[in-house]
Amino acid sequence: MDAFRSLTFPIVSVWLLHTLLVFFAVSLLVVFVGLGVHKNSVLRRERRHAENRERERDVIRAIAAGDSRGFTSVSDLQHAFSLVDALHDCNITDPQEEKRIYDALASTPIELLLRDAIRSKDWGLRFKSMTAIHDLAWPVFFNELLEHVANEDNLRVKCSGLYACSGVLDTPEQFLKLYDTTDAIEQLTTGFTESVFRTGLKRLVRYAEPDAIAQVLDTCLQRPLSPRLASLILSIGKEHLHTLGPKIVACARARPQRNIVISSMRALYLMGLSDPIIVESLSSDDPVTQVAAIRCSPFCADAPDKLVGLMTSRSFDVRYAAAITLLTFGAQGTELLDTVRTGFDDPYARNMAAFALAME
Amino acid sequence: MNTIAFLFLAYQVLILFYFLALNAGYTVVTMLGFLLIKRSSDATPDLERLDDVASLSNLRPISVMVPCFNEGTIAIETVRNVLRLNYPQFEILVINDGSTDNTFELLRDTFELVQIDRPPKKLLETEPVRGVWRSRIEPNLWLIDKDNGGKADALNCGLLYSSYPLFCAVDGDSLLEADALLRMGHQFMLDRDLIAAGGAVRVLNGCTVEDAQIKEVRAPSSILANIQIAEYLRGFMAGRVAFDAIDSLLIISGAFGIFRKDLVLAISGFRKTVGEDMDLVLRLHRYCVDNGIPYAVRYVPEPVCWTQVPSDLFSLLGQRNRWQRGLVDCLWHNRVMMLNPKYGNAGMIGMPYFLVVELLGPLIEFIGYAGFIAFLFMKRLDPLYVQLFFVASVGWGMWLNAAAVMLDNFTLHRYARIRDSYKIALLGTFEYLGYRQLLTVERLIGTFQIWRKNWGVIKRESITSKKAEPAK
Repeated sequence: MDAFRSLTFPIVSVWLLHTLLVFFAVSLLVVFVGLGVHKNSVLRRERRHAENRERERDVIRAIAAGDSRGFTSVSDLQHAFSLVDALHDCNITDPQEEKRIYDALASTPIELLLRDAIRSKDWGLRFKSMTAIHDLAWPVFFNELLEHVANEDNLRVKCSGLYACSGVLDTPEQFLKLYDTTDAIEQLTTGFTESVFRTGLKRLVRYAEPDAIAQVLDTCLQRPLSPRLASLILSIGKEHLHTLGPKIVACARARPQRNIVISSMRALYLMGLSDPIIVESLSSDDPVTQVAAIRCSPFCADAPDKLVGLMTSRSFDVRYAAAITLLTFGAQGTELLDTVRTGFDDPYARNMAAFALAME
Repeated sequence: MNTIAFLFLAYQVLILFYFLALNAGYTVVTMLGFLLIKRSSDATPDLERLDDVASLSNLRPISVMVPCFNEGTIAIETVRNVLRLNYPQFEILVINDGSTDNTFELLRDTFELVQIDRPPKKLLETEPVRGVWRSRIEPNLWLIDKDNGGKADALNCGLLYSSYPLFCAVDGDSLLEADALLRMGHQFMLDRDLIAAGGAVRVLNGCTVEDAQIKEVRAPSSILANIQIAEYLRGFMAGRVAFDAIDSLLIISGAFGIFRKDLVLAISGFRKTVGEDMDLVLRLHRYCVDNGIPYAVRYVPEPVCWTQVPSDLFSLLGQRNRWQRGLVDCLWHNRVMMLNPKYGNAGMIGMPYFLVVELLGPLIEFIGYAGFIAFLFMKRLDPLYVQLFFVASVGWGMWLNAAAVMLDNFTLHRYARIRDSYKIALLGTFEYLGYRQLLTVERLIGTFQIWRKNWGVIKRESITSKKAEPAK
């Protein structure tokens, strides 16, 4: 008993008590005072960033207009980030102006600073610098970035790197490399790959010849079947690359998997094109494909009659999509819906038509 | 006599060590949590860039489900808030769970709802549906009017009518920040294995609400609400980030979470329990591990849901009683995970933590406090023990709350005025001066009332007015 007591009280306990009390008092003081100091330093940093950003905006505009003074003040990474934000604000689109800016950037340490940052052990910094490279849109980084993406362990940084690659590429060959690298990374979602492809396509449209773009995309469409292919098809549609319409249809006919067919129909719809593949898909056995076809049918001449037929479908989703799409045909659609409401025997079709007319 | 004295002393040492270990654990978790939050927020794209990504990518569409039971005008505000979310494609399913007030009529008239003959997918059993309605003015707004069956039943019913692969469960008395869905959708876009993600839940009381959006974040005036803010910051933010870091996140708040619908349907949806949010996450862990599905359950601190916390003691006690009952039920139902290495850290760390700290904690704390009072009257307390007990249980706890509030301000800067942070930090320290002890007793009562399945009534204030602070 005494031995136990002597172990616990009083030496260890008194030491513990005093240690805890001192720790609480000091740490709370540090935290309370620290918060004030931290708030101030954050405010100062934000103010400095805003000032630098504004100053660099003026310099960028001057350089774009032909001023030969160049960037003189980029000395650290924080300033480099301010410069990148300023460049993002200015949204320079003229190729001549852009060239002047990149020439001026070449004489600053920004390239070295960002290259060092993407090799940093701190993944947060790697992420941030890759975002900056994307905004900088400077093609000199492409090869090194792609290499980093292949070796990167952190998925978030990997994605950021891929996105940055798509934002700096300027040749069809680079797009092909990007497609193959993206295709090789299994963990990526189709939603993310679409953002990579669309950014890359936007760059290609700006910097490459239409024939070369068509050629490289045709090569991609011939690549083995993978979820990336559906993303690429949809990206082509969203970027309105009309000349690739027939190639998309050919791809869907050659690979009639559900996701490829649906992506192709959506791409055609987004480009304002119609193709027999859409009307054929209205008769598909698969309600998901049917619904997709219905939504893509407004440009198909013989769609209204087909949609009226689909009002008797056993699937609610098909009936609903058909009714809502019929509404988009204006007076003709309303008339057809009214015919369904009053003249059809199928109570489900009648109900759906009545609902759609009430929605008008 | 000697043995009795030894037992008294041993008791004091054991209780003391429990509090020391508990608060040391909380301290490590809080520090680690905020460190991780800081790191994560450094590597999160700003809103402008998120918008760029969202406009270019194919973010997975989301069904936002808002179960309502006698919410009245609060439901209108919640729906308006959800309608203003910045997200490319989403639908809102309001599930009127047999409200006995005018919730249904208010929703129908405000959003010009038109009835549609829409059959549910026959995947789950729920209480009968009276009717399905769609808004004329908001094409993505649906109302499902059904018989009362509880929150889990309402959410299951919503699942049967949802069209999209992800669903988000939002409480009927909560407000989401405009970019909350976008930030969450971004996570699902980056991580293919993500099956469930929870956002931060912060306290709405005291904030200024205009047009169903949070306009200004302020500290409330009531001590009770301030204490709850400190509690939320310590437990629900820092704690969850730390558990997320070791892949043992076992709970996603029912107020704001996004889930993959196919997997939730595969486990037969929500189970009818008062802790349906925790139960769902536990069963998802089990299902994925048992079926060899690669998966991740994540906590994301940036997207924020603002929720009203109880502004009166009676409602607060009822809420904590329910949480405790839910915890007991969930742990029992999923006991196969306990200390089972098959379930990784979720089974080896998460489950024992919830058992020892959250479930048995109130019992141990109660014994500690009760014993302290009893020994005090019996004059068997060592004065040094008294001092140590206060420092280890009360002092350290107060320190933790103050530190959590300050660290939150260091990392996420939600409270623009520094005096709000100081106020919450100072008033938050009152948690250990009566509040915690009271809740300990209520949670202990809840532990032994697991047969009770009712939710109880929580008094809520309207958030339609400009200021959302509840009446004192």
